[in-house]
Amino acid sequence: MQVLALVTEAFNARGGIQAFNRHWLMSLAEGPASRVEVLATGGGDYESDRLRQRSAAGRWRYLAKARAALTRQQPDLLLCGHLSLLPLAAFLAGRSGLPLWLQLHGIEAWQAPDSRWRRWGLPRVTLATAVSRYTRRRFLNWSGVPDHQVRVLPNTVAEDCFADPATAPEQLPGRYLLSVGRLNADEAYKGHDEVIRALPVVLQDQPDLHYVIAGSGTDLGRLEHLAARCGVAERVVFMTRASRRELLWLYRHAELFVLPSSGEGFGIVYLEALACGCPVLGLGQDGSADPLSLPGGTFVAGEDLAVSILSALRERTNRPADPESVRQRFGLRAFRAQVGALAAETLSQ
Amino acid sequence: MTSIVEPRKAMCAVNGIYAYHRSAPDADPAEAESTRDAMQRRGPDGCGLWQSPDQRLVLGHRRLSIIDLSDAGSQPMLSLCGRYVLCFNGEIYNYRTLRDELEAEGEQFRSSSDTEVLLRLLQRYGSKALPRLRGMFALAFWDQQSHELLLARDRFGIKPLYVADDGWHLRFASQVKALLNSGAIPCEPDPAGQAGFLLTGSIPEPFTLYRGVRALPAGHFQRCGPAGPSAPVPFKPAPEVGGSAGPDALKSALEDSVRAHLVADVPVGVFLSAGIDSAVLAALASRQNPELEALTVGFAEYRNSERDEVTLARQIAGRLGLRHRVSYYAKAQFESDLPQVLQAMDQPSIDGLNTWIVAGAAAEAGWKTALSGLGADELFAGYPSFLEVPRWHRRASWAGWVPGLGSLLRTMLRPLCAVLGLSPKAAGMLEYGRSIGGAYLLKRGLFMPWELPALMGRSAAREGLKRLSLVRRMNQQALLGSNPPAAVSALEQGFYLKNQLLRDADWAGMNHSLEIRVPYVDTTLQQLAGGARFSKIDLLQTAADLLPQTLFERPKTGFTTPLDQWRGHPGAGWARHWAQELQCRF
Repeated sequence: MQVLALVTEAFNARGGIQAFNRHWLMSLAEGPASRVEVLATGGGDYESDRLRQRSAAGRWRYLAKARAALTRQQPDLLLCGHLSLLPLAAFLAGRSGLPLWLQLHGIEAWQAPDSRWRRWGLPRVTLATAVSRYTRRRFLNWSGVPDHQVRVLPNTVAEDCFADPATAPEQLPGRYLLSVGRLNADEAYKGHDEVIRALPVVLQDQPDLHYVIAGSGTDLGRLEHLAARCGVAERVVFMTRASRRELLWLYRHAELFVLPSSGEGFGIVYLEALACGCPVLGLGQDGSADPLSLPGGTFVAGEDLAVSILSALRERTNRPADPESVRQRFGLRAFRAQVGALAAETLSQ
Repeated sequence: MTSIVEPRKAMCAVNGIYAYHRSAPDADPAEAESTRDAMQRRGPDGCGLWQSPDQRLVLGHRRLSIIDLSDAGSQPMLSLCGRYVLCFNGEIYNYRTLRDELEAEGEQFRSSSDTEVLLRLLQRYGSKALPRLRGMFALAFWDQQSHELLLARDRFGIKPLYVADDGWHLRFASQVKALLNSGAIPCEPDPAGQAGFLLTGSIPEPFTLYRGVRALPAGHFQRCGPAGPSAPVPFKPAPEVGGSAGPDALKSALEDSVRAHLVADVPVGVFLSAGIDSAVLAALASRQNPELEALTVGFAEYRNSERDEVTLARQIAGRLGLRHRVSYYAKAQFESDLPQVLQAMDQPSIDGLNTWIVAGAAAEAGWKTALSGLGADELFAGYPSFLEVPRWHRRASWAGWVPGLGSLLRTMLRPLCAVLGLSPKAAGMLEYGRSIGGAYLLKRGLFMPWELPALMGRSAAREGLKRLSLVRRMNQQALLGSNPPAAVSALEQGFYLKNQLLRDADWAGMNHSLEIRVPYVDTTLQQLAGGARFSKIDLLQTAADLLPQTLFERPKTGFTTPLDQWRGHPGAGWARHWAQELQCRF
């Protein structure tokens, strides 16, 4: 089976979507596909056994390269790694009669795009996969794609969470709550604000606790200011440059991972925390409901976050995280098996 | 009462959970048990629950024993080899023939139940076995080796099966309300289901009131393996007999169907009204069992009017020598029963009350099984729609040549219709009458599409109508008929019968733990008489020598209730008021 994949970015790039794309494409290359040709909008060239990435910036160059790749490679399956690329992918699939597999990552699939052009390719989709049940449901509500053609292909967790050595960061807090995520002003849905506001009440009961926020971005200054206003500046630790190994250490030693986010397509950080043995607390009103359903996951009950945090801290020994369960349900092996089954089914249609 | 003894059949409810996705937690037996027990009235005589060794599948079953009250036919049933499991709701009327065929092929049976015959048949032939089944069924068949679940539903949709796929688990059950009972499925309303209800008085499948729940379409099967559920696939029924089958063949096919539907270990009765359908049914059934009992429901409001069913029903029963029960139902009783009716009604329907009342009377009389004349009007062109829909379509088809003319006229005529007190349908005559499906919607429609924004909000109406695409679906269904009456027959069977009458018979009967059997809705009879090839006169002739002459002279009324008077909306618009009341209560 030859595969042509149109993606935004995959190899040589950082970020959640990029990581997902890498797992997706590698699973095909190491599984049912004899050749995977990737055309990315960024990230440069990359090559490994049975997989090659080429990148093209600019709409027309990308289109020309995609058409050339289609003619040259004559693939059996066309992948579309982002809804924004669907019109082009649908156009190529329509011309070549290829089955088209569309991947949905999260918020971009929750509402119908304003532009009709962006929706135009939907009837050509053979299979759409969403990273979570919530994203699937939101997509089904507007897309008109039949239920049985929309499946779930969740984020998977990197193997390093389970076993790789971790490094203690320099600023070493004692007992701490942990949040991990970008601190961008336009992603205020992550819920760092709410945790900082709840902290004074939590500290009354657990006075030795700290709150570690790992991540960086444009919202950092505002959050620092908020912590100061709430009188907890000394208890909030911002780790803006934590390395991967330091991050693993933070996950493994946190009392509780807390991220009351309301805009997660899936929420890979919950999965990483659980894979590292750390219990997690989240709202679960979005894609995060899926990782939060694992052992050690807790949903915020009611509107008082402080009460939920204190309750989760008390219950952490009774409801421990289970890394083995994470591996079985969301590990790379399960992911690859799912990709293989979906590819086989798409080709058979 | 009749008792043609053949062993082991049970009417019931099925449900299950399949954790097909690798990321999904195991199927929860407690959840499956809760869903199953929410359907207790469908099967009060027993229950079963089975979980696969890998914990990924749970099947649940509730049983209403009709034939063989022992545990021999208990479900879910495992194959001897342990690889296959079957759970089904319904009756397979030709199971003895199928069993003989299987035995000739070398199969050996350990019991005499139809469940085992079905299990062996599916084991041997998979989904290819489905067209061979004569009866009503909704089933779940599990292959432990391939981890594949097969769901299927009978050709006419007599038995319901609802499916909810959340991307991890596939849940299914005989009732929507039971599926929702677990709390695992979001109750997000589906505008397409709501619009369908307001347009037709019932919810056209595959839609339901909820986005997360779909009906498995009648005559379809659906597979679900580890990659997830595939598209529902229709199984092709045996072809209809072409050409000129005569009255003798019709009579013989009717007798055959009635005989098949009489098989039971408990008393079987017949619902008898003053109409041709139930009278012929009672006549043919009484020939096969002279001890048959009949039941008629009367209403005080109809006494001494042409709607009174009791007088003529008494004459028919007397002529046939049937034991006859008459039960009167009053407004006060309706008012006290209404909460229970609404609770029992699985999906909103403007037309199930009559069946609920007569089923209640039958249950009170100790019946577990009753024959009903449902389906005859659709098969023998008994509705006015068989004349009016083709006529309207003929007269309005020219409007299709001028794009936009129909909708323009409708917009202009709407206020005029309101002023003149005309039905809103009049305004849409040219716009909808230009296609056979549109003309059928005009005839059967409760509200018209342009009325929906006022009833359910502009954006919900727009989305609901778009996804529902009712006229397109109706036009597709009409293509099944090769001439106008056959097209209307296909429409009546595919919409009114399937989505309303049969669904009503299911929830209303099951709420009283009564199995309602419908001999006119039969695959063998359909093969001979499908496509409106015979008329009601032909039907009547099959038992004319047994029935009183007055039956030939009585105008058609249908079995209705005085609901218009009970709800304070007498006249033609009662159904619209009742629909709005139901819309608020669901």
